[in-house]
Amino acid sequence: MSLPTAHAQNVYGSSDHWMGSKLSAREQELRSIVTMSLNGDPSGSYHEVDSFPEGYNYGDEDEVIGAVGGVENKPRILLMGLRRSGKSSIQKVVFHKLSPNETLFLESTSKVVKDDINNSSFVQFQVWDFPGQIDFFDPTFDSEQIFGSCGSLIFVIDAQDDYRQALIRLHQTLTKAFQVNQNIKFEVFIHKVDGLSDDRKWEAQRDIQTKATCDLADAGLDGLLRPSFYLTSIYDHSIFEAFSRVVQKLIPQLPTLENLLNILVSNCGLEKAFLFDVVSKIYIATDSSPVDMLSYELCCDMIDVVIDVSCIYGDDVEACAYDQQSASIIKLSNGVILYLREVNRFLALVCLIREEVFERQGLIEYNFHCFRESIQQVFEVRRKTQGPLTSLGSYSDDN
Amino acid sequence: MGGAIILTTPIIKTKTQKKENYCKMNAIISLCHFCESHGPSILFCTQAFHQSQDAQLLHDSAPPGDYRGHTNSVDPLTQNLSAIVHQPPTDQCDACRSLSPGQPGFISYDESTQITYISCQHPEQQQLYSILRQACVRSLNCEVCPGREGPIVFGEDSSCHTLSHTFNLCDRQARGFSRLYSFIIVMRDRMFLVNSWPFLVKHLRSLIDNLQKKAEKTYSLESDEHKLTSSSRLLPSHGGRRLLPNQTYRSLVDLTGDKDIYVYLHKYFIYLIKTGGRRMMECIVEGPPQAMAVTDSFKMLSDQELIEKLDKSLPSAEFRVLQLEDQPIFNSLRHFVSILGSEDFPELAYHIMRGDQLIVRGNDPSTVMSVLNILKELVPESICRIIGFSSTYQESFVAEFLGLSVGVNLPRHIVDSELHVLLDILPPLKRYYSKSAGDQPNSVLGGADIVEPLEKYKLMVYSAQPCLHDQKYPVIIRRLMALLTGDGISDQMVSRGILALKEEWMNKVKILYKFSQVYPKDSLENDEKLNKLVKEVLFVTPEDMPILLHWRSALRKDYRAHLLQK
Repeated sequence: MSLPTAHAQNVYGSSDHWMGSKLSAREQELRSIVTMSLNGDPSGSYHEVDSFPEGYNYGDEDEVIGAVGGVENKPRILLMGLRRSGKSSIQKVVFHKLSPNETLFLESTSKVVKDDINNSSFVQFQVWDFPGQIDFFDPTFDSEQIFGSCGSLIFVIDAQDDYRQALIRLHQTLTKAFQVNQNIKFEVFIHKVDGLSDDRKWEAQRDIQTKATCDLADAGLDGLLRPSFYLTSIYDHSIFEAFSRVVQKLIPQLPTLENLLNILVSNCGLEKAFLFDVVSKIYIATDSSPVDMLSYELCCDMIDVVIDVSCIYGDDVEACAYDQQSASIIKLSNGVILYLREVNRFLALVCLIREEVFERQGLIEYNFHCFRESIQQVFEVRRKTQGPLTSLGSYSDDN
Repeated sequence: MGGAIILTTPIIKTKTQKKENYCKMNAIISLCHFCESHGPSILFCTQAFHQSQDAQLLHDSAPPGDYRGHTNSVDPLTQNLSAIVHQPPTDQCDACRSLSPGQPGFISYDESTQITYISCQHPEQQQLYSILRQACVRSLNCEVCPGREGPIVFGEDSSCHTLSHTFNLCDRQARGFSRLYSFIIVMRDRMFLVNSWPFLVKHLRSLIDNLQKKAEKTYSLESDEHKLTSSSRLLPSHGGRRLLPNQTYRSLVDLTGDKDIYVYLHKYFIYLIKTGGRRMMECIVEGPPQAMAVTDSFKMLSDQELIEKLDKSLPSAEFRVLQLEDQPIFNSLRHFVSILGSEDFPELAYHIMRGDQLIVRGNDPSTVMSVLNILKELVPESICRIIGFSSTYQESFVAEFLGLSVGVNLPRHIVDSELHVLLDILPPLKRYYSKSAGDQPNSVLGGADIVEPLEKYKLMVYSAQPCLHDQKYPVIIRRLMALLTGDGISDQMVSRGILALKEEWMNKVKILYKFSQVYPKDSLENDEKLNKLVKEVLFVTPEDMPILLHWRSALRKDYRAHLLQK
């Protein structure tokens, strides 16, 4: 592998409109709001778990361009499952950068933890982490309140454990939640598969999938309710991949984004292209070719490399590690090039390109430019339809 | 249904309690735990049974068994109790159990108040259990207290109010090395609960501190042991690791290393219930005690009563003739002042207000009575005894307001005394109105007794020594005169104004009274203070002082005591 040529010009104190001293007051305010909401959180220890470089946040909510889901319809993702199945770990690892090893020391969740992925990520939604010990379909709880405006329900099953109990609970949860709200997208995470051999992984998935669908068929819901199954683990990228798919279902612009990516891929001869949410490393769209886990991991790691290099070698400590100038090319020894370009503050395009194709770099640059314009147009539409309520900043004007 | 015995009995029981108006604290105090395996559960709860009214209820509601036995017993563990202990759910582990199976609970009997305190794992009444259970779940799993540990109050008027104090105990074997507990106090009475907040929170905090200290001790002991046995391992023995299938979490007893921890909790809970009730005194609040007594020495008499009274007091037949309906009467203070003249009135009013005897002489009882009735408005009711119409002089200690018939002579010592004021109502000269009688043939009634309008009467004020000089009127008189001589003020407004004025001065009296109790008039310094008070606080002149001093006697004894108490 050749040396990465990461460009980090942005950090040289170009005090543009979204970082630096100009916004500090507003930012302070915003941060205090964030801290407050975290303090209200019963198990909110994650604001202490700050493995994220200081200053590497998204700044003003007002400036979020095309953030998916506004204040008015923020999708909700529920994390349910038996106790100790790994719900809190997933939430902390994906959204709070908790090291997977540290999840061992998490306390058991006693209250519903509502985590607002509002101004810390491009994709705006809430993640509700439920304690597994409590049956929330008990009449004392307001199930309409819980499941009424919920977008997705993720049911986590511990694959290392005996999952018969979990399957019973899964069936109950699915049917009851479906009664309350028929628009919920049901996802099943077969979790903690890192400890299983590949054979047992597939076996577990097949077993759980058949049993769950059989149960649903028995209840007469097989046609209406089709949960998706994922094999996940917090020790590799599978949890990010699975969460990407979950989040993608909640993004209304997904077909347009996929189409744009397809056009880009076919016109530039790219191998694979991902549109990443930089902070969470969730990809919000990709082209239609199948996702290879290895390439996804590569792309994730590339984002880490770029951010880390920017952080370490950027001379302005206050500045952010990722801005509109961020771009990077990494040549791999197998003749594949990793190519990262900033799309907007929260999104990055990461592509895998064959070396011989990359000789026409100018063409690719031009095409990328068109692609970026189109993406901005997509979110421009959304911005207009949202009206003045959430006046999103016009980042593109500053380019 | 007798399910929620404790909670349905009203907390306020003033009438049944004789001298001690302490509130009963009808509460359940409970320790709850969020078990890692089984979720929230009630570990231990203490409730009070008031023998007088609850023993029967308890008997009725509980399953068959002799309950009178346990209310009389001081023995902590009677067999009778075991019958009422709720059967614990089968899937319980050590962590969600307080008392070992077969151990029914604790019972204490307070002989002085006849209250029985029972502690067990669950309340035996189903309804109560569900209330407590819900409070437990809310406390541990729903309500969010900033900072994780801390007190909060929640609840609805329709069910119960709960004060919950969550806390963590460290445990080497638990996930995150921490276990979640909470104390909850469930009550019907929100006001009581909120008012008890400082007391309850203070004690719960110290209780929690105690538990946490014990748990920390166990924790550090185990850490040391762990270091000795497996120094190479970075990870804790169980923390975060999966427990073996048959291994459950430890009980509170193991956690704190105190096998008598529940006895301790039982005692502490009893203390909270008992003292929590005792620290609240209850008294019926109907405002402060009445400042002035309503005396029955004088009641407003109806005309009929008046005539009857007069019948008895007046033997002469002549007077009967005078009891004709059309005798002139004064109908308001303004009316009276207009006839008396505003020059003489201040003198008269001042005498009346400072407590001199008012003697009204006239030949017509109803006229005299009307004068007395009007003038009594000027003083507080309780210091004005009235004898409406008498044929002999009565001393001032019998009546401050005295009505006399015309020819009654006053004793010498009264005439000389300046502590009286005499008002004579002089009818017009006979000659004058016999002349006009011819003009009014209809009104002829026995010749001499023609009704004359009051305007033709003459009122004479006499006092031994004029007490108001050089227009140095007291403030109250000036205010009074402003009311009476002001333009466009109706009679009703005048009497309201006088009422307000009297109230205002009574308040000054109260201040003065309290002041004089604090600074008795025995030194120059205190006199100076008094002068300062009069001038700068009460805003009155020294001329007002006699009035204030006199009105002090209008304060009731119990009200004085009330003033001094404060």
